[in-house]
Amino acid sequence: MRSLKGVDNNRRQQWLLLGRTMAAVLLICSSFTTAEAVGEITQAGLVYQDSNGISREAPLLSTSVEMNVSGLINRVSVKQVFENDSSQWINAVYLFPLPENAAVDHLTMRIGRRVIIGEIKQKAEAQQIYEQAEREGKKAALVEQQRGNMFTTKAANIGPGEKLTIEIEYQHSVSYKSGLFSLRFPMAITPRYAPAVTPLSTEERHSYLAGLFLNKEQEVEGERASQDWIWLDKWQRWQDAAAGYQLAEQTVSMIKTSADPALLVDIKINLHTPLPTTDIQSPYHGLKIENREADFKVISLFDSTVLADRDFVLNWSLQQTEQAESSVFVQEKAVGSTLEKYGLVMMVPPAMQFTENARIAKEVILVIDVSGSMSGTSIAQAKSALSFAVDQLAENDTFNIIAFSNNTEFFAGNSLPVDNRSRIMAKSFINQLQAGGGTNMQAALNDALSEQRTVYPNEHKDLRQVLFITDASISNEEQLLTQIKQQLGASRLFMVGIGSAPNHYFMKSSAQLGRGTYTSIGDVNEVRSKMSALFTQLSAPVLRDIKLTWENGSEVDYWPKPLTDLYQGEPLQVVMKIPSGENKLQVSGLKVENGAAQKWTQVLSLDQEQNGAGIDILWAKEQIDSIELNRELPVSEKKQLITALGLNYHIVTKHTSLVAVEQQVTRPLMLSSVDKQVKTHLPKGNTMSLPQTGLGSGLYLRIALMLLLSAAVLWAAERLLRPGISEPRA
Amino acid sequence: MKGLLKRFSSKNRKQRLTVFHKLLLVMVLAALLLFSKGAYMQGKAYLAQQLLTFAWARHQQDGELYKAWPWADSAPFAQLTINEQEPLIILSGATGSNLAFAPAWMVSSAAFNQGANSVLVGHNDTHFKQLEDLPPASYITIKTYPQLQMSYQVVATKIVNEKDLSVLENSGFETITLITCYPFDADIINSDLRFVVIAKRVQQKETGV
Repeated sequence: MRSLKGVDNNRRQQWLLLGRTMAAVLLICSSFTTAEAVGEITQAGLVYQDSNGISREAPLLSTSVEMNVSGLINRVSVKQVFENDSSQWINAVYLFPLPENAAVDHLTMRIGRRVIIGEIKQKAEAQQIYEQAEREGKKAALVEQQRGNMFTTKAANIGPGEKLTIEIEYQHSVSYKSGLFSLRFPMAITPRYAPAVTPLSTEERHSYLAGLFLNKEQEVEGERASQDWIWLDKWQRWQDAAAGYQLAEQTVSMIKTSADPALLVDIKINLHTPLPTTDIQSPYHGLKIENREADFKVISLFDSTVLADRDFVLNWSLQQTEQAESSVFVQEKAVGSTLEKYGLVMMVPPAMQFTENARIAKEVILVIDVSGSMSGTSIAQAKSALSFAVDQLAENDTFNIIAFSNNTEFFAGNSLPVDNRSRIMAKSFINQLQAGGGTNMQAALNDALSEQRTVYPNEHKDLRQVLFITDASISNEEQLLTQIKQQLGASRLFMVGIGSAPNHYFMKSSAQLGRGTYTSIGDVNEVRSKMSALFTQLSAPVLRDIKLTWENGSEVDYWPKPLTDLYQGEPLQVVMKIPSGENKLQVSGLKVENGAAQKWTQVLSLDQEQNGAGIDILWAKEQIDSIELNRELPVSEKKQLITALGLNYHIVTKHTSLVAVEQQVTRPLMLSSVDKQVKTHLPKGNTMSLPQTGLGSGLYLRIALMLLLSAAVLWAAERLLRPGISEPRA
Repeated sequence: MKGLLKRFSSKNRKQRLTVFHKLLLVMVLAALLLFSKGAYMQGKAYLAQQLLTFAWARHQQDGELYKAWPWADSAPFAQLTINEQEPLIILSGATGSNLAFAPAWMVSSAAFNQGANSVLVGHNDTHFKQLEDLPPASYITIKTYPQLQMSYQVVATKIVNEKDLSVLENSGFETITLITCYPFDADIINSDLRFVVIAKRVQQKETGV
């Protein structure tokens, strides 16, 4: 029995030994891999670099915003105070967002009591002027549009301890929907990363210190001075690198907790309204509202400053018994000796009493892309959007589903009426869809827009909505857009973009040509909210084929172009140039009522207008936006048109920037200034991202190698141990 | 007693060996599986490039589009050369299936030679692994049919968050932007960082040889 126990003990020992060897092998292997990983991860941090690749800490910045809302136009002044608390001269860069349709038209730079007004220049020219000023040691400010609604402010040569105030003014129109006015001030953007720079090595530090002592003894003038400069420079770099590291750690933790006391915003709003307001509120921020007069309110934030980590939104409605049908604002602007007149019209078409009984029967064609590019999460999102759409269809509608890849597949031969049975059939059709094959969108569009397979409810060929769910991974865009333009007919095309990187440009353009809307769904969680918003809109169209003419039938120079259809609660909002002598604007369109379309016309008189300011800028901005979306213009012509508009109307665009330069040189030329970037905040709930491009095949290979190695070691250990174990038995 | 013990121990030993060998076998099998998975990805990427190069050569001859293999999603779109390295064939559409075979052009970005920003995406463990050691001011060449050749010079590299879509936008210059996951060869499969190379169009590649 004892010997039995002995064997047992030995066995245990052997296993223990084997276990230990294995653990050791694993440890060694994993330490190899993790050491590598850690080494690489420390390379990525949130650090800002100057042109020499040296990392710097960010200057302090505070932002105060003052808005003046009058009628439909919101004029906003954004004051950015850059404060340099370092001991160097710095150049600051700050990237910030503005509302989608904001036209930036003023730049003022304040240094102490001096005020310098910015001028509009072509982008390259402005850049040149700014860079020259930066080199010459003059204070300068530059405002550029980066992309879409992102702008940068650059400020050159801020001295140690100095404050530089840069004031930007922009205006945009207040949005209005279903009786609710609303304005938005965006505050957060996505973070950008830059690789950190390695700090001075220990040796370099030692030689620096040695240099200090050496220099003390060398009392040779001149040479000493130049030596000092070199060492001072090195010392500075070392300190900067250390500070950079610290900042990287701070900012990374800031991004994790999304709280940073360094970037605060203060907002004040002067709200002038034509009628007394009711119900002013902000969904994300506490407000302090001061009632000055019935139609004038001063609104500020409850906490005097807030973190710039989520957008500020203000909603209000007007007190009124009846819906104001239209409001017209006119501005007269003297250009040289001539007088230009600009008009802003907001009109709510006669709202129908919307009830379930009066719901318009319509035909809905749901098109889903099941090509190979949709495989993975995209097809799951698309399918869930599609079945949600089937649920949302009303009982007296008809519908059909088209799935396309290389070829098109129909759910039903002809459109089916919506009932429980067809819904269940549709669901099972959707469930069996799988992604694979090429993308033949041409055939799909042809099938969706041709009316062969249509059964119209109530025999009215009026309302046909095509819902196109795709990631638009195609390369024959132009051809498809031409096709949409030709085949659209009475149908309306609603694009639903799926996946993290749908072809936004194509989607937007085809929705515009198809006179519908574009909804982008970046995440499965968004399907429900976005699709239900889209369906609410789809189910209540009010006015379509809207045309504007002067009373004598002549063309109106209006923007945006083309005008989209109006749905329940949406106003027609358009900016135009008024030729002298014209004061009657005719608005016509097709009104959809009780399932039938009737011609509808209304004449607006521009005589009893209210005076407005800044409408010319709104007109130019709307035109710029329309030009950007216009696919028929070549890039060079777009650039030319936008540059001309930007220069004429003093607006910052893709091709024009505002620049302000102080004439006096303030920075001693022997000192150089360094570039700094101001931190920006992470947004809440951004879902778009760049494609995923790491499969980790190296990792698989490494783990395989590790496993093989441990197996080999185990086997060898067992072979070595076996004679030792059998010894006591012999 | 002795015989019994012997039988016991030999039985014990036999059992012990099988358990141990089972463990070894499982480890080796798992290793082989993982190895073949990794090797499959690498092999697929390599082989696809060979087939695509062949299809591209035919395309260059007569301008017709040839698919590299009968069930391919898309035909070769352009040819990319980074610093005189082995040329890579690019596909159109940055989808998961395309990226396994070749770097891909993002359809939402501008086409080549349009004076705007064209974006190429590739895997950091296969085609775009070379970006890790990209020397500053490297030259990048794009060839499209018919015999249109464009040269770009690298002006910046940076690391951005995957949510930072600014790299996709036009900068006002004709640029090409290469994007891949960062860190390279990391043990993180779904990294949220991207390595971005921005290259500006240059007139003609300076041949310093």
